[in-house]
Amino acid sequence: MSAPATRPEPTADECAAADAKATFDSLRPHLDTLVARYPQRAAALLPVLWHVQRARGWLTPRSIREIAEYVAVPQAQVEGVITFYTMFQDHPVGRDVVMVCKTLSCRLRGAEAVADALEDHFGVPMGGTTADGRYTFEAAECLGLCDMAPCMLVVDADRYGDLTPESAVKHLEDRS
Amino acid sequence: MGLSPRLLAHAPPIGGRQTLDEYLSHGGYEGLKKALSMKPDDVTQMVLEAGVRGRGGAGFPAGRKWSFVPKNTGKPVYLACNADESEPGCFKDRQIMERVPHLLIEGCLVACHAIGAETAYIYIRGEYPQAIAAVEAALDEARAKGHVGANVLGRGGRCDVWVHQGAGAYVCGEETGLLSSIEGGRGYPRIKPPFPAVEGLWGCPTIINNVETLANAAVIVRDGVEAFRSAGDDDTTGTRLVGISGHVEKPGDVEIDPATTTIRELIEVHAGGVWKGRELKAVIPGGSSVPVMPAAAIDVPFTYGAVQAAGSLAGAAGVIVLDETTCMVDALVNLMQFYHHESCGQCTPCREGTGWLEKLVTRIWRGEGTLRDIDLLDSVADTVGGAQQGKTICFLADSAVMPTKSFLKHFREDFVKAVEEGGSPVFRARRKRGAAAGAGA
Ligand SMILES: Cc1cc2nc3c(=O)[nH]c(=O)nc-3n(C[C@H](O)[C@H](O)[C@H](O)COP(=O)(O)O)c2cc1C
Ligand code: SF4
Ligand code: FES
Repeated sequence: MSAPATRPEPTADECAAADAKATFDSLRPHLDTLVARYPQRAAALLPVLWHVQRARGWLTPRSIREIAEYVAVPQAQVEGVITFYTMFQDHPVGRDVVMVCKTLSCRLRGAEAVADALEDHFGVPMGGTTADGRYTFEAAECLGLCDMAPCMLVVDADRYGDLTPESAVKHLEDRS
Repeated sequence: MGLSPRLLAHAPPIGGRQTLDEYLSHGGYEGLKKALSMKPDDVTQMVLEAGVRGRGGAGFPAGRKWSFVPKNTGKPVYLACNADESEPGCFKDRQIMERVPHLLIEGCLVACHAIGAETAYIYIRGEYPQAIAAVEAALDEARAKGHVGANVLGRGGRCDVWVHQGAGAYVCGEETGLLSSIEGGRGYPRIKPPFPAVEGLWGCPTIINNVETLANAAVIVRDGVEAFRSAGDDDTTGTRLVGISGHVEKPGDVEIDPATTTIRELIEVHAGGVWKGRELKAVIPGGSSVPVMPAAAIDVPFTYGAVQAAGSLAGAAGVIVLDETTCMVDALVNLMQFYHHESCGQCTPCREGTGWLEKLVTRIWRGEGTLRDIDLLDSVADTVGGAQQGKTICFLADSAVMPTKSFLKHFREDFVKAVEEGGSPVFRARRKRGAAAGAGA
């Protein structure tokens, strides 16, 4: 189970900004194709959450209400699913979420020093978001990239391996 | 050795994807053609005779599992491909999906024909965007050419294959947790029986197989039983894809003949040896959930039987190598953090027990433990888990117990030293650097 969130409640402005990125109606055509893949509507919940999260950055209270209605499940189920999976975000996150692996194969090759360097350089602990809103960092369990250990993954985008404290910082500084 | 790879034959290096045209030029989808010309039961029989065992970890014979699907229930049948690959140390399925995704798709189609399914879901972990993109691109090609969809290869049969993306939860790799997740819920494992082959997705018969298992099914039908069995022994048939990581010069994956390749060869020949010219201390051969082996035990072939006789399990073939400088207390803290974090919380022995294991071993790691805590750790481990005895719903808790018991059995001296010397050397070095004293990264 993912750790309980200790972050402050999102502000009304933060919610409105995320919701403004895409109206639910504009997402419907694609969502309909997802629902069509399953014999039961509720099964589309994970793919629908992914699609809305990609469009709006994170899953706002409004998104949760809209999704619950759309896939026809109780809101509590949507919330339960979001909190169960580490990659669903119910708080504002940076433009990119960076998962930094902390599990054994990476630890054996220096993952701890990599995480320390990222925290020092970007000035936020794991779990935090940089002041400019560019990155959210998360300490992650094995990313399945143990051949590239130590490694990190920019969610939905790029992976970086064979990291040193310096190269990890540089990879992220070099991303536009 | 001297084996021509089968699963990764003609696979481009990491970063490349075999296209449909390239796959077809190497006999791609010939296995599917053959399968479609056969009766479904005959395909199952062939997979049974090939003896291929599940590559997801448990090693259950795939043909036998397929034969459990009840006939004529009037319900649809489903295939779920387990591509969750979240076991620490494992990255072999990623190789198949990224580099030869059509082989997996062909395997899914062959299995669907055998079990009478018209829909397959490939459940890929959310942390694998490259694998997801490769499989989606291959599916687009396959649909455009009529290999997947309403009229497979023009023979009138329907078979849809969809990617279902996970979102970060190890327990979704447990086969019934995976089903809960596909149905749109938390990834809670379910009590068995009923087994998924009888009552799986939406109460319908469902077969769950690992990526590599299904890729092998395509190879079996294409090349025949005898060719398949020319690698391996009577118990471990076919090749195995093995990932090697940790303290080696060249971490990576390799496809081997398990009957003729020892764990030592995996490390010394395929992974360039222990890194920095150091000595080997220990090997976890099958992914983080299996018992650790001391260096002296690794001169065994990588078959299920031989690794088991040597005190561990070949499991999901993620070989983690630990050099002489490793503090085993530090390694175990790391693994217990993992299992505690990933417990879904349904069963008390697992939810509380993995927490206790983490707490106890962390106490020893921080130099706050006593010699009695080492025995306590061992006895707590005995009370955690027990899926076999019906104490827990799934095997996740047992997956935390096996490392704990074996670490204590083979490397007790590291735990004693941590007690006597004020903590793990890793903890002491970290405290010296003045960093925060948390156990994690
Ligand atoms: C906690 C846990 C996690 C698992 N994770 C995976 C996984 O990521 N991939 C996988 O193929 N099997 C995994 N398994 C094994 C599956 O439950 C199941 O045995 C397997 O998918 C069946 O396919 P196979 O017979 O082809 O190996 C896991 C089991 C447990 C108990
Ligand atoms: S054993 Fe652990 S992971 Fe498995 S169902 Fe029980 S609590 Fe969940
Ligand atoms: S342990 Fe870091 S990717 Fe597997």
